[in-house]
Amino acid sequence: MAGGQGTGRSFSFKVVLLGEGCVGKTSVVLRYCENKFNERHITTLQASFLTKKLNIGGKRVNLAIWDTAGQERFHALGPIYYRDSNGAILVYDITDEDSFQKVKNWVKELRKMLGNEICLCIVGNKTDLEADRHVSVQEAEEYAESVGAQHFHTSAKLDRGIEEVFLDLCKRMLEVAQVESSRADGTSRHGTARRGVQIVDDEPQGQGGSGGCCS
Amino acid sequence: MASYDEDVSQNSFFLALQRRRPDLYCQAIQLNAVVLVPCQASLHSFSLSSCHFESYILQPNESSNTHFLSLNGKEVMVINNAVALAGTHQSSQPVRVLFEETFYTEQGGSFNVVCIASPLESTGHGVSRKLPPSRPRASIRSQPVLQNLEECCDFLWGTGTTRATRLEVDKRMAVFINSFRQLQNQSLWNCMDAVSAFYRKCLQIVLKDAHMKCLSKQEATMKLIRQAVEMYVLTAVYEHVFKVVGAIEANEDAAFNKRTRSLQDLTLRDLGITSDFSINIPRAKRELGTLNDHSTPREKQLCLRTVLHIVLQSPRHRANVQNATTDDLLPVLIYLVVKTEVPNWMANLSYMKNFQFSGESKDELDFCLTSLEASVEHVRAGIINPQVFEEVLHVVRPSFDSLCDHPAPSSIQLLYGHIAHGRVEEARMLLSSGEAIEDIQTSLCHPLCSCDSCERLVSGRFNDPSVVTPFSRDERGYTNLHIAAQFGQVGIVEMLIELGAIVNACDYNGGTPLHLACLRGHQDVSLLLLDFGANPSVEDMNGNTPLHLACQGGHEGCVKALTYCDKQHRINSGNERGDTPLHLASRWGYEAIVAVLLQNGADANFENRAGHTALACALNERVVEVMQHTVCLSNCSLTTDKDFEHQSDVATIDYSPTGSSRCSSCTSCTSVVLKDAPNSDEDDEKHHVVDKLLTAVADGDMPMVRFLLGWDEDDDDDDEPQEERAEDEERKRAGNCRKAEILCHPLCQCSACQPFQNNALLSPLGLSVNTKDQAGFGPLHVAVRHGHCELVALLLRRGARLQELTLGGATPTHLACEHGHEEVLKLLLAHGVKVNKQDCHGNTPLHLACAGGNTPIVEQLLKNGASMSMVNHKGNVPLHEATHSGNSATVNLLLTAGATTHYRNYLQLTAAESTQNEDVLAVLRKATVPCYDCELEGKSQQNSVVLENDVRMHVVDEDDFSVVTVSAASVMFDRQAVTSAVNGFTRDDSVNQVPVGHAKYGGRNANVISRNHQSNEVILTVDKRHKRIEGFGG
Repeated sequence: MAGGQGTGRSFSFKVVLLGEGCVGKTSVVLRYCENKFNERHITTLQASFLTKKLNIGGKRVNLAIWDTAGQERFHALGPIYYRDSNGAILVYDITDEDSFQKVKNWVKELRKMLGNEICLCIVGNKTDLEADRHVSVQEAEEYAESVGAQHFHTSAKLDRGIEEVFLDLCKRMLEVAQVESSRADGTSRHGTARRGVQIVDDEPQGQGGSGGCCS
Repeated sequence: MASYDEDVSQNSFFLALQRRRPDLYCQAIQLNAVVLVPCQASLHSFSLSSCHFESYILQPNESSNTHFLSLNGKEVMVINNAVALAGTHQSSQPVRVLFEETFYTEQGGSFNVVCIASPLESTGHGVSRKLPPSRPRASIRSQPVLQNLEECCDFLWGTGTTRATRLEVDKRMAVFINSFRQLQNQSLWNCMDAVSAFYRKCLQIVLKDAHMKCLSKQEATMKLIRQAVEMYVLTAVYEHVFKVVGAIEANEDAAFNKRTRSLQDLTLRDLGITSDFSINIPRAKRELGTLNDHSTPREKQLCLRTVLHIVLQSPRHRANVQNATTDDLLPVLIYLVVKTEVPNWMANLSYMKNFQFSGESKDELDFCLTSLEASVEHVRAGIINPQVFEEVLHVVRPSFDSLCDHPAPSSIQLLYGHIAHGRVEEARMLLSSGEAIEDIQTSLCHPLCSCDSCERLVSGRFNDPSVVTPFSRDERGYTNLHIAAQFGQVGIVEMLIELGAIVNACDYNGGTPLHLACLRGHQDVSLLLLDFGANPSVEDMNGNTPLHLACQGGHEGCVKALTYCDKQHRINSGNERGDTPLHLASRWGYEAIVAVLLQNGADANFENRAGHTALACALNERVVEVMQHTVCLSNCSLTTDKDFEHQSDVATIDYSPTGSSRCSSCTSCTSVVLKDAPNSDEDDEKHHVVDKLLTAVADGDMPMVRFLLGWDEDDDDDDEPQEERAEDEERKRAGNCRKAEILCHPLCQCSACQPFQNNALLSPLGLSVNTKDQAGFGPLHVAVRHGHCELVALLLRRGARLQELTLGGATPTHLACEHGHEEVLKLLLAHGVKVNKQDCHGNTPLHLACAGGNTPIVEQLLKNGASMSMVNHKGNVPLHEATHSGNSATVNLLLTAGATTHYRNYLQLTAAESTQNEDVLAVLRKATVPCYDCELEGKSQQNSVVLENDVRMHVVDEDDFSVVTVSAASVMFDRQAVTSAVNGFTRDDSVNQVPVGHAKYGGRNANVISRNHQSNEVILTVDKRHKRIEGFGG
């Protein structure tokens, strides 16, 4: 075919979605992948695995979004799901402080298991319930900064801020991937490179932790 | 569904839009619009010059999800995954949507591109309207998803590829499979590397083909080629590869199966699965059951994907169904994993994970695999507990419920609660309240009297639900005994039987308490029930005997108990599906149980209803091997299992990798014994019983050992086992009778009678704690060999002899050291064993420990006075053995303890000369004081030589001997060097059993006269004649 010559690089990224059961992580991702032109896809109920195609500044990105189990009884299965992922979106409910605490635990675990190669987004969902807010904006943002994550506020109900989360995450994952591939010098890009498990000391919790004490 | 993909930024329509109508393009970005782009293949006969690009740019529409307005005011409808122009063009047909992609520009703007199968309108060329639909469809189909081998063959060899390429690949394949066969029993990594290398080779061959070379230029097609080659290759080698994987994962699989079998009572409610999802489970289960019919990882994953899709299908097409998240999906998958009869989950998982070379690991198939892996992991983690979910719900909770509803909880439920939790006293209390009935019976006119006064006494009593007896049943027909057996409450079982419970009572499924005990794997309860006359051949509603259930559940202990007690040889009975216990054990991959069954006369040639033999049911190579071995043996030698057992005994008893000579000698010992022994039936039976005992010991199976030796658990603490015997007079008498029958004469000490003449007492089976098998192994030997500390302690408590020798002359201490059981050794040492005994190869325990390179054990032995200069039949001292083992830590330990490095064995090699191991050599060199021979030459002049490190040596000539004195002249000497130098030609004279010739000094024979430890002075004689023969000095 004519268009086949020298295509720009295309990337595929795996993004895991972490968060407690009722924080609305599924709604966030469904809202994002909602596709007016492909209705039937959504009505098969499938929310545990979704894909999205992006083209960011000429670079094609195939995004595979993996939902993980939020229930406590499946907590131990986390590593099976998030291994080899390029990014993680950690969702909490701004009206539920426990869910934010869960996010902190996840972050700790992710950094321990996957090191700094994984890009993190911390997402405070349900901004439509601002009146009921129990997690302070400052605390959340400071925490996110202290662990090298981006913080976003979304409302799945009102469709606010969701696209930005994924766009930002994709851009960061692209950066990481490009650094990695330039380092790898063209030796097999995907697949064969197994990511070793890296053990890192607990990252400084810094202000985030102290903020938690004050509130 | 095939998912079409193309790079839109290379699409000629899209490029034309950007180039010709930059205004429209900018407008689209500004509006955050939707741009419809016909796929590249459909643009073949499409005139871009005359295209109305405006109609392809749709304004976003907040209010409606189905109607859009294009920039030139045309209305576009989205129906059912397709777009169509509404209104103006009545003839326009819906055009399929292929995919959607969101574009973000560098400036931060964004728009959505929707790729459609063909242009919306034929831009005025009415005639060509009909042409595009067929063309694009064909070219879109040219991106197939390879589902099976046929499709992949079509793709690879169907068009354009030369025949030579395929022949080349096929030829390589045959060669590879041949060489791969030799690779078996290798590690998973080797196997993966081999297959992966072969796959790459094949890919190279394929890509050399001109046609493929052309195709491979496109990224998408290249991916397909990889997939196709992988599928082609893996289908061919599947059988061999999967066998290897299966063998590697065999133990994991067996353990996992045991777990899933024990979870068979799991209900949907236990896992919290809602009815939305449960509807699809039977279909999903059927689909998942075909997993083993697929051969390549990709096909297996596609099968998984189908399963997932079935699971997630909504029962009705409802608009606002709850979204299926992973939290919904996982419980269903877990349920499926437990309930689907796939006996090799682990092998499948490992195969799917490790034998995929082409795909990238982030697609939906990978998600499916990961989900399965997560479910399996969850089951394996043992978090789900059906006992908590099921029995306790049944047994305990109703009692609380009824506590709320009624003033008095149903006493049967209370009773069952007590039984389940093993509260003997409470249960007994409840039961004794029912005994009043017996009192009433005695006060009746006659047992069946129905006169008014008697009626009044009796009325209501027998049917009163508040009265519980050992015969009461619950709604499942379980008696008390069933519950006790199910929960493995030995004490309660005993009490109930004492109270007259019916041992063979059937529940409403036809199951006896023995069935339940075997299902749950309570070996002690099974033995107890069998002892009380439970019938092991009762079949339940599904035709399962207890043995079937024990085999299916993987409860080896129960299988042994049953096969031992089943005298009627019902071992080959089939259940409803025609499966014999052997079928079940081999299907679920329980290697050990298969071996036990085969030894007890199970027939591998029985066919089940589906016409499969047990061999055909085995998915696991290790089980197949066990069976083939037995079948082969029974075919070759007409003497049945018996021989197999002996052979296997020899095989298991004999040992170390270095001691091939030992192995053969031991075998010959055994065969000699076999020849000598009269082959009477009784003898056979005795061997059989002894074998049973030793096998039980080897497995660390305490209850079985106790059972076979006739010991009660309670008596373990007694210091005087004699007392217990007094209590059990009857058994003793039986034992004595038996003893009298066996012995040649009452005090005979011949090898056959000797085991029965011990002080330790005989069990009813004629077994004692010191009984030995033909190889001279007694329970203590076997327990020590397998490192069962608790069992060793028990046996010692029961009077097992510490210094008992096997035919190989090994004491238990030897075995403990050889097999590296430190704890056991400590135990033996605490009982005061002698540590310098030599076995038939002259090895002391220290030799064996050194040969094994087991430093902690060596340390223990040295602490307890083991000699470092004992010589075995190869002339090796322990240091030699340690050097051979290559463990520098052990060598170092010996040297620190003062071992000599100069000692030569019968090959005239010192320890240092007999190894290549650099680490060990380094340690040895550090400790070695060189040169003897030179100093002996010097002797002839001065009779005194100063060695390195200031060690002085005096030699005095006498008539036939040179007397050599070694002392340290300087206080600066290296203590170790002196010790080494001294030990270089001395032996530990305290154990001077070995001929003088074994002590060597620089190649000469020497004999110690005296040794002064304080001054490090040794006086010895060197045989001058010998010296002359060797041509030295003089």
